[in-house]
Amino acid sequence: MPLFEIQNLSFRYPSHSGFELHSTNLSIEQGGLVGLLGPNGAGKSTLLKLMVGLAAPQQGRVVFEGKPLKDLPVRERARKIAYVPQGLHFTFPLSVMEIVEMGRHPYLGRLKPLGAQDRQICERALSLCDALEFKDRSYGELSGGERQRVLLASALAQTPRVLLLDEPTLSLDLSHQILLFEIIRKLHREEGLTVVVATHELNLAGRFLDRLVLMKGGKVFAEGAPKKVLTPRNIHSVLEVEVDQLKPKGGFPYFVPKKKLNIVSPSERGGIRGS
Amino acid sequence: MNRTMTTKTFVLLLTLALFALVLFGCPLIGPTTVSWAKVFQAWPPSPDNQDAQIFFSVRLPRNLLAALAGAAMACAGIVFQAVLRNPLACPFTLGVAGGSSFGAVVAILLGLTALSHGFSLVTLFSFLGALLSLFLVYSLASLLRSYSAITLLLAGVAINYFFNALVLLVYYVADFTQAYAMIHWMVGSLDVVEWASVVKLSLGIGVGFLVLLALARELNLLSAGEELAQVKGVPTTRVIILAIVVASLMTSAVVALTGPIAFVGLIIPHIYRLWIGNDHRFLLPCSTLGGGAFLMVCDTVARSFFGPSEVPVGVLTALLGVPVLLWLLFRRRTYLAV
Repeated sequence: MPLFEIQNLSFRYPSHSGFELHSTNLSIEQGGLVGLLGPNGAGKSTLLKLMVGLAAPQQGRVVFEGKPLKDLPVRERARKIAYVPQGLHFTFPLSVMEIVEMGRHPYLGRLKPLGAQDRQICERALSLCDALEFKDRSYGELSGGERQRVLLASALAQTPRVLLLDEPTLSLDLSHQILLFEIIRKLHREEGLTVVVATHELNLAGRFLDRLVLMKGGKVFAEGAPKKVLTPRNIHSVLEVEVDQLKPKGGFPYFVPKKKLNIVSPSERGGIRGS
Repeated sequence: MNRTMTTKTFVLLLTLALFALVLFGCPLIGPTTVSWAKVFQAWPPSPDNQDAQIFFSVRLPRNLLAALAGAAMACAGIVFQAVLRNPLACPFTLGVAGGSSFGAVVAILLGLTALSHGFSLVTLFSFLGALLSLFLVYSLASLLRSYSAITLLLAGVAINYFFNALVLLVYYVADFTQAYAMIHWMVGSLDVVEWASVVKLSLGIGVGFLVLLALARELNLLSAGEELAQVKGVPTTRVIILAIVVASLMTSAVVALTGPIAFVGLIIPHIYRLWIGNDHRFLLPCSTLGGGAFLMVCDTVARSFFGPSEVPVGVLTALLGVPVLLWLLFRRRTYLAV
């Protein structure tokens, strides 16, 4: 039985006429390490939000562990599915530990304070994310890469079965991007977590993830092993860029973007002619 | 910048001690000095013990009302700031001040200043006005099918302006004596009070505070973001509505008795946010006790040092509170930088 089954899912925002997701079908196996790829507006983030129950689909359903997700109470959901949104900003400054401890919320009774075991889980989550050293600092003082690791640790503190990450490497430098993907891989391997990552990093996704889902216009365009999905032809059709493929010996092929395809706006054309 | 548990516990105990000290200390101060020893000379106090009479019949109930009002405002302020994720939110953000002022000025205009069942009709009208404004805000929100921070905030601001306009209209048609009574009510004061109303109010505020304290961890998550709260297992809509309704009822009950006393609900929460951080498990009780202590001190100053008359306490809360906030702000500039 797959962990997640997305059945004929359609979703559109109330203020939009077009669909974000259109009759999407997808299944995610227990223990998978899956990447969602595709251009902006392809529906990656929306799909993640539907998978954690932050939005309700107009049509179709999300089935989690064989049961409809909407029948699972929010607390139960938070014990099994952890989600890290992109670009989180806190109005009121919080310390790193306060943010990580939030992950224990679904396990605590109304008046029950955090126990020794909860604290242990939080510290372990921080150390798994290479973030234990700044546990006493304020979140606001951290760099982008450090913040992302803290949010990841807060999600891990939920001791979930599945981790959904929405563009975790957004605005990180290259070494922090690699570090984050290494952490994700380690969590998958050592903790047995199912991980679904929405990302724009084709090369890192190809190298670190086991299965990729390429999305376009709210639909699944291609899915499967990275080698099968990431081909110049698919990238050409979905991302509308031409790429050079570099093949290191025995390694995963790398893609270097060359140029954007033929879509030139009328004003640009006019400008070129005018000059 | 992280404050350890020990610091937070220390601040909580310190605030509790301060609250107790001020609660029993302030009634000794006033135009007539009262001696502690004389007050408790004999128990029960004899009717000709003047110090005990002043202490128990006049100053203690008034001081308790100040404590309750300050506590409720500061507690509600924290809740509104957390739920609306807005550091400028205060107990009046959802239109409670406008609505209750409107109720009060209407009662004054109609000459309904007599007492009925131990309550002044002005109090009753102002409570109804506050409820009306809340009802309108929630109706707007449910009409729009959204209880998000921005919907509530905008609906509250709009309703508040609407009632303020009505208050000005009523004020305009009132005669000179009525107009004076209206201004006096709107500035906020604690002068007329009986034991009965203080006891009733304290029950209401006490229950409200306990409900909100039980929601402290949810408030932590909500103040960090509605989506984040939901994915960490908070049934957000239910908690938001419960927190706002309880905080609003507490505010309405206080405002009906005292008038809208400004600034306590905004300044005290920020003083504690700067001091111990934003963990509501500590922030809420500290701020509640601190708000009570602060308003007791303000009221004591207002009634004692400007003889023979009194200064409205609403004026003093701002004059005393703002410098404290600014001082803390200058000490912790990082608060603004995040």
